[in-house]
Amino acid sequence: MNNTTVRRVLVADDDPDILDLLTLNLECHGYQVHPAADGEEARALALQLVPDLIVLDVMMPKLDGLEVLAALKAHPQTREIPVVMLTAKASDSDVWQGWQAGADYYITKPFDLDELMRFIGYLQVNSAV
Amino acid sequence: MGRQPLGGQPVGGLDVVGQQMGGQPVGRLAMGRVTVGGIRVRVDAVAARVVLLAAAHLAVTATLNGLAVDDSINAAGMAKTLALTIAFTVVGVLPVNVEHGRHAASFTLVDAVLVVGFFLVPQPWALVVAAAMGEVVACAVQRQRLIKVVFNASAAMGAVTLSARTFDLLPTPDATHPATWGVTFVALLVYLLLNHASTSAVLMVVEGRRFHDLFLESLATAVAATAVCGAIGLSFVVLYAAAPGAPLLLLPLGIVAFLAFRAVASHRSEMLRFKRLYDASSNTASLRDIASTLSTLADEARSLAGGTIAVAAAPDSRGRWYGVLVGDGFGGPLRAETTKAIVHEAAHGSLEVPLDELPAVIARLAPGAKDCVIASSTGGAEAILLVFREVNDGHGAARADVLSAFAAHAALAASNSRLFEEVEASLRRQIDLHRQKDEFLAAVSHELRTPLTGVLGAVVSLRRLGDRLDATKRERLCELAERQGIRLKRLIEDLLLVAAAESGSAAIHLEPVEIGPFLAKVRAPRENVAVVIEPGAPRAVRTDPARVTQIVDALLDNATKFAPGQVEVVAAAAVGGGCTIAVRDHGRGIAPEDRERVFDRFVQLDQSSTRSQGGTGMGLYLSRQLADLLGGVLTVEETEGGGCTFMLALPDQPERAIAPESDTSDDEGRRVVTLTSAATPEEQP
Repeated sequence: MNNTTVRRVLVADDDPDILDLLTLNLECHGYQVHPAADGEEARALALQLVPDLIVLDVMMPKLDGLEVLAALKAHPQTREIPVVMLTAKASDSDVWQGWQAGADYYITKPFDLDELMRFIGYLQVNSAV
Repeated sequence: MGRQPLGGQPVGGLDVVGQQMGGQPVGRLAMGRVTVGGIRVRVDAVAARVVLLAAAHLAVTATLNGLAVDDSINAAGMAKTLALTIAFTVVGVLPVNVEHGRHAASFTLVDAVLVVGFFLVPQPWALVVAAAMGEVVACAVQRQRLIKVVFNASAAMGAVTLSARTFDLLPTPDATHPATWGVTFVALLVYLLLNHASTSAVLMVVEGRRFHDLFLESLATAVAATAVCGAIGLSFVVLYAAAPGAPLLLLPLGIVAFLAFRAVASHRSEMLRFKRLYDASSNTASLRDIASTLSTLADEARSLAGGTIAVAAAPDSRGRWYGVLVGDGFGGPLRAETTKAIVHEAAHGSLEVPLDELPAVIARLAPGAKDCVIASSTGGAEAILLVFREVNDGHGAARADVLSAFAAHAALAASNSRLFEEVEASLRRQIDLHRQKDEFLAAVSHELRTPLTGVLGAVVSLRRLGDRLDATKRERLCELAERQGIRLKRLIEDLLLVAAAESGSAAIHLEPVEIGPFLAKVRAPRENVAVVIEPGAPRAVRTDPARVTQIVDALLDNATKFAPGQVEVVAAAAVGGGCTIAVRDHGRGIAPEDRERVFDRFVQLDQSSTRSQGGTGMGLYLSRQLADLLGGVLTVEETEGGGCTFMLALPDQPERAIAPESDTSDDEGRRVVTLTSAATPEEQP
């Protein structure tokens, strides 16, 4: 991991409390966090900032997480960015849909913060290599 | 002479004979021979072709006779012609029905009379006239339709002309000479083949079957019948040659044979009645919905009573009379007032009624009918059968008896159908309920996850981030956990209340509620909410204040959440008593297509703002359930000038608490049990 650059993370969730929770944790781990409250904002910010990592909630107004994911994977600038999907939908078919759409990680609410942070760290190490 | 050949196919033969035995000439065709069920309707479409066939026969007749109308006729010849005409008429009217095992045939003795004519009338054209006249009179007596009379008469003329010409090849007929008998049978064969071909041709036109098949189908029977008739005719002629009075010696034999045939026929007719009754019962024994059962019953009643249009009626699963009409190729449910008139008419028991004595509302169902037969079941189960008949042949009373026997079965079939419908409906309800439960569980689990994520996440963050959090961040996480915890608690409370409301077990405590003070109290903790009491609004209604508070609270929450600005609560008098409470906002409003959807569970038209406000997505759904429970109605409409207005109409409940069931009587005095719409979601519009 390259410690000299601050990793930038885009977090999108329509529930302000969840957004706050993720922001707090990521900041404490030394990330620079850019919050987005809906899908459209998330897509616009991703294209503008080209962050190192994106955390997307699936159920969001305007554009849902899967639509944002598809848009990001279709764009050459954002195609390579690792994406973690968050969802309160827990059925097998929902999870499968997420993986199919090209998510790098798929985690259901209520999520284990330790696991999520560990995985985000792992993704960062990999992309640094 | 005879002919008609019915025995080719056993079953068809039985049916055809049965109709003739019942004395019903509907559908008889071609020289009183073959009875074709349903010809009345179909002949219209093919009438032109039948007329063409008749014209062909007349052409043959005119050509062959035109060459030979040179003889004159004397008074004796006239008398003989007249006697033959009468004889043709009599045998035409009295068909002979013969059966053997499952085979049956019906023929007339026209061939025998024809043989007599060969010998007695020297001029072929006189014989042709006698045969044609006899046919016309016989048809008229049987009230055949004009097209049948024309065809039968023309076919008779053509066939008689050809056979008489054949017989005339014999220079000096000698009744006692066997050679003459041979020629006679040859002439009869000519008559048979021509007549059989005519009959097959008209059946081909009417039934659309192949001529070849029709011709061969009953040829053997026809030949046998003709042989018998020829022998009878020759016996007469031979006896006449011996002594003019001698044929009278055949009379006792004729009478005995006639009576024997009659006895067999009536026995056969009884058998057929049972067979038909049995068939009709079997055909209607399957389990189906009431409409198709009644339709089948009417159809069977039609064939039992020998009519073209029939009605079957029985009470449906709600106890209301339901009538279905069936005709040839058409049918459908009757209007309520028509069914009612039939029920009224059937109160007199099973009987035959001339059409002009029926109420117009019933008679107009079958304008072409002459009378109708009505039968109703007696005893517990109820069913009414009504058949319109096109003939008034004196068998109506007997048909009414058969129909009456069938009505008992019809009542049973109808009651089975009702049972079937009830079981099916209850099964469907069960499946629906099951599916809803599954969906509900999935939705609830989803809804619970979000606040749980908040609570758990905040607590875990506090532990795992420990020292890295300053006091402010620590406080933020605590508040977050508390907020999401409260949301979780509200969600669970709402869920419990919804479950109670849905099962109808939510307790309702009615008491007089004074509208003004009540609304003021509900409004109190909010800003930007104005209470308006319209003139005419009732001072108080009897309802459950706690439930109404929940509803109005939810509506105000909803309005302040989605439509910032002034919100009005307006109380007014409701149409039909009680009071309406309207919550009117001036926000963005709701698109018309979404207006009913807002009352569904967990529907959040704008999820982000719902979540930011900590809503559960169940407020409006719960409100509607509660409104139902109070006997009220909750709807949403557009506010004039934008925004939306939720309208709660509350009845003024009587002293007695809401009963789970209410009994009412419908206009016919039957007891109708109605379940109150205690919040079953599928009953929502």
